[in-house]
Amino acid sequence: MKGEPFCVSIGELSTAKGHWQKKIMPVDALHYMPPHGGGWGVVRMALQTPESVVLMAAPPVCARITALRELRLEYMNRFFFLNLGESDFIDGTYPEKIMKAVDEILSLLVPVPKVLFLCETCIDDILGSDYEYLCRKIGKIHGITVKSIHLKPTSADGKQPSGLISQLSMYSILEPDEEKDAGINIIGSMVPIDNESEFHTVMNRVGIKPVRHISSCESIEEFKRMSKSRYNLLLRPVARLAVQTMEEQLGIPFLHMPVSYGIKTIDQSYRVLEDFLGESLRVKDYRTEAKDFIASCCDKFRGFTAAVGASVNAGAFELARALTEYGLNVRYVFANAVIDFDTEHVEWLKQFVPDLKVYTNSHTTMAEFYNLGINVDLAFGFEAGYFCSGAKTVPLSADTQPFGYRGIIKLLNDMSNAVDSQELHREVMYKSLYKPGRPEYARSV
Amino acid sequence: MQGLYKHLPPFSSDIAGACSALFGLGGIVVVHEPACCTSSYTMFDEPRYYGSSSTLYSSELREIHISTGDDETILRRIEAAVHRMDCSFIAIVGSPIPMFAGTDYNALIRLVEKRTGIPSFAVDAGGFDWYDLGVSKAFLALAKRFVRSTGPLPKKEPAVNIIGATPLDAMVAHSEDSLRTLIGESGYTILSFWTQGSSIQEIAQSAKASINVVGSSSGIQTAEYLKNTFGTPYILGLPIGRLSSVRFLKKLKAAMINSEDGPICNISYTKNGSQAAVLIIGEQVLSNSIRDCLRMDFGIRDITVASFFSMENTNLENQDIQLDDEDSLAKLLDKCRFDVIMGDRIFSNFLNPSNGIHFISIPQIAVSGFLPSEENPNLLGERGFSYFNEILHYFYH
Repeated sequence: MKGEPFCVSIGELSTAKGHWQKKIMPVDALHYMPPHGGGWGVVRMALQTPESVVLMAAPPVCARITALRELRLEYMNRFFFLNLGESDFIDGTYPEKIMKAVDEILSLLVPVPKVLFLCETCIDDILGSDYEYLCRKIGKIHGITVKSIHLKPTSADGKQPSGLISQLSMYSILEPDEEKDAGINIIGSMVPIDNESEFHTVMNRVGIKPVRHISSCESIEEFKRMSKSRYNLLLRPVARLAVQTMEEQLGIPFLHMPVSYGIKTIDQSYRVLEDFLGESLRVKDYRTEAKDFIASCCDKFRGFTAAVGASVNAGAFELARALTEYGLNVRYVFANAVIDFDTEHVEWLKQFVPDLKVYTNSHTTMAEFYNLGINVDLAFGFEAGYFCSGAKTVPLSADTQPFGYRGIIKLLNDMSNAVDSQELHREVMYKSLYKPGRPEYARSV
Repeated sequence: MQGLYKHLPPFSSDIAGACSALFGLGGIVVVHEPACCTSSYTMFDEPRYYGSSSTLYSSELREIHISTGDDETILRRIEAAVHRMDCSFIAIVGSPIPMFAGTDYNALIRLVEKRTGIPSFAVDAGGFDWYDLGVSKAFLALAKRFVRSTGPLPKKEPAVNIIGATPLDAMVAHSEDSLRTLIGESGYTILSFWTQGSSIQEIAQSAKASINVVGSSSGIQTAEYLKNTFGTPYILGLPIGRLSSVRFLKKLKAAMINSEDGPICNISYTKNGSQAAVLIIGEQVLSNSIRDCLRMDFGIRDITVASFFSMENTNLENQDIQLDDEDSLAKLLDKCRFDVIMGDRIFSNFLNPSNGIHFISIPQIAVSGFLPSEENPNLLGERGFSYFNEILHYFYH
């Protein structure tokens, strides 16, 4: 490498209004791919829908990473791949092949799934495949719900990347229900809010229950009862299109309440939540609990250097701010874009951590970053852990969803565990690919 | 239904094969795609990637580039990369999107080379084929672009090139060190090991070798090219097991072992009075090498090789089977003809435990990806004999 890896100072980051994800990476740069944990692709997200299966009809290159992820997560019995060749696309026979594949899949599964997702790829966009028609036709033949989801990296930087479209597709299964109960839906997080979070008790106290999340639903009927909820709480921006549509079509208003780790940010979030719900939430005891825990831990981590990656289960810049407030010396953030909800924390960091350097995960020069030996004590997120080889990694992956004041306690405990752990980053990262899956469908033999 | 995969993941694509073949050679490898096709390769298919300084990139193709036919942005990105990163060549690997957009890779490469002054070539992968075709195309492109002789045919050195045998080919552990040792015993040195550890400069000297060793089917086309261009003969196979390795080394010395030599082990592996029938599912050259070991070292005669990947007709035996897809594998296994089956561990999911068939796992990254914690068996030379001897004893005694 000639020169230093590409980076910007925190002061150079633009927070002007405009696109909801402001790219940090320059336009004229080839895209490097760091080793990464499993993550949540569109197929894994869609399979949160109970009693559902996914069929991807595409060349092998499109489906391999999804299939291997699902294999390790034990979802392989719910993911099917139809290998399409060049000639299938060129002669236009692939819709018939898809329908034939669906016939075979549904004949094998006991019980028959209630929802089938057909996964489109960017090839379908170029060719103008009419998946809407295909979904309607297949749904009519088999009497099940058929929706399309999109694996569309060609629009990753756009206003509606794959994840947003796919979340919209998932929640479009819900039907209007005028009879509302006192429930609240948690939308956008990949897993329900942790049981340890005070959120459940706080909601229960003011009579807001049940707290619903798509992956807690055991059946499609239970999933459809999410339409009865009175409120939607959007935790992560990937579902913003879904909640906007749910507000219009199902009459469920939403509040965007990003996950935070800073105590002042959480204070502010609960105040906004109180206004939204029209209820006083009485969270003071939990705040005190968190403050006391922070005080007991702060000496342990004071002066620790840290790096934060964008793969964490919150805003990268918000987490950087929180860690700074807890006494750590945050040196680096690894992120390809500034997401709109994080801009206020970027502004705070500009004022209070002006030396903070922001690297991207994907700039051309990051190919040699690993061997530069740039190090910190704690790295948050797998990509930060990779780039700062030698750091102890706190994964904070989307496989867990801490929330609220007790989220701070969980964060600090995770940090302690990381400091004490002897596991290398690579081991932790590859281990995260394996998670217990949902109950299996039985295949007929 | 043909092409429907219900239990198996799709195998590594030709894009992954090309990237694997070009890994670690000091070039900038650009996969012309939207930063998706490469992700399964970096995550699951390339054990060397983590911690490397691999200059493998995606061109980050977007809708706007495709719909406006904008190649200029990609060219500028490559130029910017050359200014920041050291490289000895530039390779552009294709993918489905530019293929459908009718991208002229040859024209693109000419422009890249003109603007950067760096030797450049393209590998026309489309993401539709399996990895072995991508490896083959990449190796051939390397050979045509870099392997040169000046003047008359180069003076042949007592050295070999090893072509093929990438990590995607079920590569046996520690293959480079073991092969160097084994081949060294025959009086040869390894001039280049495509591409496990050799630089582009070493590969460029390949014409000086007196013989090429082709470790997998993906190396055959390149070996043929080198034979036709530089007169370098080649042998197929790897030294697996004891007698098979002796024969392999003698072949290198242009002598053949007496094929009537009997097995080392006088224990016969039988089931119900008849000889054990073995099925090996995997890449053809490696599988044939394992077959040689089982025959020569253990006297097992009834051995079938089946593969999802390329199978050369000249290396087939009558009973060998080209597998088309998952259904053809299921049909083959349903016949219950075999006593022992070897292959990637994921194939064992097709077996009914009550049939009493023994399964030997020979992991193949191109099938089920790699795990850092997984140790592939080292089957080269005497280690291969010990490995199979222990397992077969366990099964039958």
